[in-house]
Amino acid sequence: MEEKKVIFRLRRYDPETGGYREDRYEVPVYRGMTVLDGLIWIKENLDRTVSYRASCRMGLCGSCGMTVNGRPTLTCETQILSLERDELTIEPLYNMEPVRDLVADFHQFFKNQRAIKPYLIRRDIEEQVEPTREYLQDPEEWNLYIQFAMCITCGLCYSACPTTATNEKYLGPQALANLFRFYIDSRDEGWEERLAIADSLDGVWGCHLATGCSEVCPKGVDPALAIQLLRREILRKNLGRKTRREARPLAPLLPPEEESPYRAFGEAPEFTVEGAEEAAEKFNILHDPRKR
Amino acid sequence: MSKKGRKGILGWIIPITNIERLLYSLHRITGIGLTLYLFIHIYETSMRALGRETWISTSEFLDNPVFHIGLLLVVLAAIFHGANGIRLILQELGLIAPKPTQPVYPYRKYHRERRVYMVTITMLILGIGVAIFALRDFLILLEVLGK
Repeated sequence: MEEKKVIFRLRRYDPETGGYREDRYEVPVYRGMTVLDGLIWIKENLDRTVSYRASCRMGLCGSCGMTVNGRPTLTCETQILSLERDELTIEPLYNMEPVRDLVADFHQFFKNQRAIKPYLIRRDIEEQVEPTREYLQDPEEWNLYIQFAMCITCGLCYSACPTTATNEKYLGPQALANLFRFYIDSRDEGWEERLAIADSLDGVWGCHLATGCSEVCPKGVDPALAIQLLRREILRKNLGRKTRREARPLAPLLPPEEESPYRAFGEAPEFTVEGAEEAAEKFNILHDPRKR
Repeated sequence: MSKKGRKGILGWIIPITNIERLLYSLHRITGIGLTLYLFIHIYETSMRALGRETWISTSEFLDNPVFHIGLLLVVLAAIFHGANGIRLILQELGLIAPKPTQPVYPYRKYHRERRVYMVTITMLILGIGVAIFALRDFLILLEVLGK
């Protein structure tokens, strides 16, 4: 197989000096090799001090987002030869504080994500915690939000956004798209508080529709569309027009003789690993809306 | 959080990832340009208050090819800013937003096609409309200056 050499120019952040330095590495490239493969090759063969973040290597975990040739990119999904360049400049993601080398800090990004309440809000909390019936949802209702539920929180949209470049309080495209994902979900009942979060200068009105977020999204989430639709909903609400409909009622209770077979499983088995019970309790507290 | 990683105003211009990002950058640049022109224009017309002689000498000073080209750039910036502004109002308020659907692989191509068609068509219609009015006025202005 013919081997090509590509120069990797890594713009590395040094936390000790607080500045960047550029290192160049020559990487032999084969067909199908991704930018992340190139970084792994550098770490294994040329320089063990290079830091970057990566995990699944197949575009699912969203860890390996970096700026490649000025464009926020998921490096595990980007093949080097497809870029058709002899030199690649790789930097940490823009608009996030760099930690070391190519690693960016997602602290603000996830803070924004938490601020929009990324979970189903229900008025019947007891039913939500101890469910007796299913929430009904048909394919048309599912279609309204599935596009925005595909987010892998890779942060590329946040990095490509010109508003986050100057306004650190701005919620950002990912959080707003996630907000719309729950707002439009037919099972959710928190639409009023969700619209109140979105209706601010640091919310949807901070967006100037550059749509770089949608362009760089590796999963087709289209945050710009979510922000447009959220604005339309806010406009409708402020004009006194009808916004989102009420949540659908729960599925009817089955008569005892037709009781769901899923209930036949009974109680969960005893914990066998030491510390698992405490861990499960912590998890339950985190995910119990009564304790939020 | 420190602002070390943030691009600041430079982030308005880079990275140019798509056509709408380019339009966004141009909208900012033309907006700043038109605001500057407004102040220069107010200063220029205020010369009338200083008497007939001052006004005539100012007019003679401005009557040269450099300022004519500058005026043409202002007209072009106004055409672009106006047309793009109307597109932004239509799009930003979700008035021409498509319905969300399940994304189809490859996702990027799917977005680009959907959006670029919409932006191109809207900009063409609005751009031609605004250009007809603005250029007509500009030609009238040139005719007046020529006399």
